[in-house]
Amino acid sequence: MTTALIGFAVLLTLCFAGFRVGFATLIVGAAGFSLERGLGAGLAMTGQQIIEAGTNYNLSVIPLFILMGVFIYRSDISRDLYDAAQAGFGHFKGGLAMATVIACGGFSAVCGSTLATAATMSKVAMPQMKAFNYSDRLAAGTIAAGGTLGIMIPPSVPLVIYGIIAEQDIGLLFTAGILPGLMLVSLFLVAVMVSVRLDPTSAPPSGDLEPARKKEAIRRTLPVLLLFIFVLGGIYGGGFTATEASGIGAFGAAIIAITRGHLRNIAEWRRCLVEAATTTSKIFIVLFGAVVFTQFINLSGMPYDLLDFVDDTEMNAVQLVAFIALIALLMGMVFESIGIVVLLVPVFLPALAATDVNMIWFGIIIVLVTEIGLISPPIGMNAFVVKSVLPDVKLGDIFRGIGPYIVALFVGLLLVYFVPSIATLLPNLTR
Amino acid sequence: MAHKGQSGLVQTVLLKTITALENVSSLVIFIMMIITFVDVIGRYFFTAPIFGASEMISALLAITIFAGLGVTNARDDHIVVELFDGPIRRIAPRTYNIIVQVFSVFAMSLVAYVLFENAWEHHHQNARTFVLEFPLFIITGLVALLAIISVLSMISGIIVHVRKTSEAEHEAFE
Repeated sequence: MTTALIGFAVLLTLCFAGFRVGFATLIVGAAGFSLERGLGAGLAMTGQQIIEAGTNYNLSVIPLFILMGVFIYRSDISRDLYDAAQAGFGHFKGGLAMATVIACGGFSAVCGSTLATAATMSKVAMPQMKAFNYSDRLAAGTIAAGGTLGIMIPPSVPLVIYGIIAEQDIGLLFTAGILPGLMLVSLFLVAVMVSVRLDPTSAPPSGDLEPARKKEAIRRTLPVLLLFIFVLGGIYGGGFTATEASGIGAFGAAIIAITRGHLRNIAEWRRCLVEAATTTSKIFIVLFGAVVFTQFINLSGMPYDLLDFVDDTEMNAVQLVAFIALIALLMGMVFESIGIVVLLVPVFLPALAATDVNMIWFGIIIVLVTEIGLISPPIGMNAFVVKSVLPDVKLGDIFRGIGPYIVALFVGLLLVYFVPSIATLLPNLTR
Repeated sequence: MAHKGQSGLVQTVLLKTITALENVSSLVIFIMMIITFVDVIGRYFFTAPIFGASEMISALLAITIFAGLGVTNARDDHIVVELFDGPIRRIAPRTYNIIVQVFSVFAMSLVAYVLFENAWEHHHQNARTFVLEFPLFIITGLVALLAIISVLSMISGIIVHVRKTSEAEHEAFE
């Protein structure tokens, strides 16, 4: 246990000092393992783990879903999604903020990147809300928070990585994310209503879209919606695996991009493909570091010491999950979602298995907690992205605007925590 | 002047390497998408999946990662926790950058070394994939080679960065 704690301390120091997370995790893991078992064993383990993770067929969903996201992102669909959402919610009080929530949820789900969603929607939704004198606080806060929705709505990269580490079926995890994802969208809509009720001046009435534009927006977003339903429906109905779905999703997204006038030359294709490949490599170097570090942690006996701790304190499954969620919440203030999943989950696996925790439910809880981290100070990545795109908006206003959504996320977390069937209902139906 | 010339040469080589790695990674990920799609269509509509598709995809995944990693490394575009690095960087910006970069080069060199060891072992054992019986050392060897290129592109990136910084400082001083 002491060795593992020293390892964690060194790793955190390196990460805080600005060393690349993936490399820091890999070196600390390899060094720790080598100190315990010798350099030869450490190097052999490092090579084996990297090759195993790098050639893991199940992990091919990551580049392919990222590629699907890049194609959708480059299809300029954001404007149409926003218009379609406005067609449905524009006539409500705070309707533009509601439309932003829906458009962010839809866009981040298909594009897969919370940061890209925040950046894109800052450009699409902000001018519209500013035109109707929405307050900066409500507008920017909604965009920053809305971007996080896609992390839960499948396909979700953190859920894939969790599935690999915890040895859970990725298709079931995706299915499990559907209801909590929709619930969070609903809670965000409630957060808009409450914000507008508390401060009616923050969202003056906005005009409705003219019928022709409504129809056009819905018509143009329909293919993306159909692709989304086809990909998720295929996984949910057991028609194909997550890997197969990712291939179909990427191919379908390319077709959509072509029909929308994009990907018409090699340069455009190349830009999208390179973007997907480099994003994949960034995620995998963190993953390589994590699998190596996990071997060191397992060797140190820390997971079993934690199991003893759980036994000694007579902690039950629900208390254990609350304990882990609390740690994840604190880590979320500093680390991004993948970092939390890869560092935290392996350490607690034996304890979670011993207390018979439903690992699908636990996966949803952990991902939901990382979602909170994306908009929580001091890092709150999404807030900084919105700030970088909208330099005139004060960072303080963005964080204040995010406040109601953090409350909504906590409500969502408590609901999933106390009513696990929100996460487990659909997977149980498909089993 | 000689320094400027050498820096220009390193920069040219670096840019060409990045372009080559970008081409490889984009081609490989494209093939991966096509194989996955055709395999699914073949399996469900014609009961004729691609033989050994999962092995091909696994190999392509590794190549995508390491070709992409070369580009990411050269641009130093990795995931970083940006919380306390600012104050530390301000103490000695140049030294700080060099230490962080050398650490990354060391880590990536370690990755290249262990991959090379793996490829060597696969070659000695004449290890092959289960379905296609394709020699494993070709896949691991290619991945090791990409990792070595990645290390070299990282070093070139650092050289270019350091020389540019020195030139800028020199010009500012003058």
